[in-house]
Amino acid sequence: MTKTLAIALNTFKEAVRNRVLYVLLFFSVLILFGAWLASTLSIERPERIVRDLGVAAINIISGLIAVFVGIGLVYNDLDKKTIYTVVSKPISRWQFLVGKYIGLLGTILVNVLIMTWVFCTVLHLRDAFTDEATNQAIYRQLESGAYEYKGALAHLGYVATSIIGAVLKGAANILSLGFYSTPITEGLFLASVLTMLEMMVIVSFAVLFSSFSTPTLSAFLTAFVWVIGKGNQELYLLAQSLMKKAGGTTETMDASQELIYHFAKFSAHIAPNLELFNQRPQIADFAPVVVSPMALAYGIVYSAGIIAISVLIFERRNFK
Amino acid sequence: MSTVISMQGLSKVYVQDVLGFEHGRLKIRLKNRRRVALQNLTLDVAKGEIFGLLGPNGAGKTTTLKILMGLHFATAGTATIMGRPVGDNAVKERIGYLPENPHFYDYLTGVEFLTFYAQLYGMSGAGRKRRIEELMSTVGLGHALDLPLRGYSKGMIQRIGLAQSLLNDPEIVFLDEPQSGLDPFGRKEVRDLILSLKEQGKTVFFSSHILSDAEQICDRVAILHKGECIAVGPLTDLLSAKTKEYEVAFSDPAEALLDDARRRAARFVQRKNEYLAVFTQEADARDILKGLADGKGHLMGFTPRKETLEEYFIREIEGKRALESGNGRNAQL
Repeated sequence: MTKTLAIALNTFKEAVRNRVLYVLLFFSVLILFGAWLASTLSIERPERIVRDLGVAAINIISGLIAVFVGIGLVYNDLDKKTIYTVVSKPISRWQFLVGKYIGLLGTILVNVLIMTWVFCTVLHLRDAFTDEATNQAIYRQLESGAYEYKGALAHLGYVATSIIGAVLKGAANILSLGFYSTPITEGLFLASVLTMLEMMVIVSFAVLFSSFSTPTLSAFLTAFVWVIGKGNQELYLLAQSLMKKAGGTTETMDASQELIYHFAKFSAHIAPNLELFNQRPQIADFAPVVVSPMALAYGIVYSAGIIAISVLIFERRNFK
Repeated sequence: MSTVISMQGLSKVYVQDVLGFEHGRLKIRLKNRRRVALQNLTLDVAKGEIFGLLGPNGAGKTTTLKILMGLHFATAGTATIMGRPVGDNAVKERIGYLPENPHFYDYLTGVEFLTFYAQLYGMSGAGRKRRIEELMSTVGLGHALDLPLRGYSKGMIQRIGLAQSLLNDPEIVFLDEPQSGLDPFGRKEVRDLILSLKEQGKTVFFSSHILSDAEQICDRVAILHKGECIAVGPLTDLLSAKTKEYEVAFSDPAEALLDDARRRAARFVQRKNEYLAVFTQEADARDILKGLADGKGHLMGFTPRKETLEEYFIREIEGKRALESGNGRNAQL
């Protein structure tokens, strides 16, 4: 176990020294602030927009990290032959692969937590800088009923304390594992937990593909599984509606319909059902977010299965 | 002497699926390209010896080492190390391995790197720290403890590679081309290190195409050519013990002596007023030396030369090639 963790820790170190990771993190921060900006364009219920956009951004950026940082991790070891000296040490090949998986998952976990923290901070800032809150803080009402500006210093003080407060409150959201939350950050921690479950599955595919193919092909295949997995329920519905239209048999379909029907049905069955981890409608509607035992079990069992297949491939291959 | 490494009929065939492409009438098909990297290799290495696996590039040296390290799987045959099958974790605990032109995690510093590898051996605490510092100074990297490996020169990478192969104080050390990419000074250091490992009672199994390095330290060698083992044994048995050539260097010779030397020598080199004559017969060399002793010139040097491993190597492999082309011709007829 300590050996697997040593591999995991080294994988984490490798990932955090990868420049791509920081580019993606930088983008996530831009998008999260952009979500705030976008919400100001909304006439009705801007909170809906900001929460939905933010959770989607965290989900997509995590997926991109899994694809672009994850793919290189196993392949680089094979390509640069660093694996020679690792595997000739008294560890088994499965320990190496599982270590890589845990390391990459750890990297994504840290990133998801950072992004969630930034997001919560953005939301707290948004609360602090509404016109109402700001005016209340920087104007004082005189006895005559008129308002007086408290001065630039007081204004600056308010801005500074709000920023510090927002950062601290954001941290509290994360550190309390979501138990502390204000109305606007309600359920966001659980949404990130669901994103992590989704990443467990995606990263296991990244490890599977990169254990036998090139980085470009693995990136493509992993991204493919991810996209199909997200649209998997729609694909299934598409197949069903095609079948219904055709009157319950493929014989009455024309060639293109039949092709689409089979593709949709095949993809829907083979790809993981990532919709299980999607509760963005609940997030947008401020409805309670639930991590169902079904989602938890699905994530764990599915990724364990994929990792087991990767190990079977990896145990038998020659290292070039 | 007990056998610690044993290979029985080890073979490796690489099969590569290649997409064949023909233009006329566009045909695409899958071809199998087979390459025999190792053919029926049977070898035993005894405890405590320095064993050299020699041969030109592509002879199958690295393939043999990869099979022994469990990185590749043999197509046929078996290999055991200390009586256990290769790739067994109990074996890996007791051996060290340095691959050819090694690459390591270059974002780690020297100490971080060795610490990580030591963890893979389950080493921990103060003992680990002491061992790492000790090894870094043994391989002459005491000054580069906290330098990231990406700042290391090729020679330094080779040294830290040696250090990682010795972390667990192994009983058998496998080194793949340990001296490649090193300057003469570094080569000598590696040679000294291998000899000191032998003194500590360890077995060293290494591959090389630099024959002079192998010649000075190997107890026994095996010579591979195109995946086949063409000779195994102690160097003294492989190389003919008798002197092969006599080199006489002299200057200011008398006319008669010079003519005599030129006529009898197998090779003759002149540089200004200095001459180098190489004789294959002892009598010829003796006569010229006598003439020089009689004052017919100045003797500058005399060297009897035995066959070198290099020469043996060329002789064996060329014999093999001649045989192959001969067979080819017969087959054509």
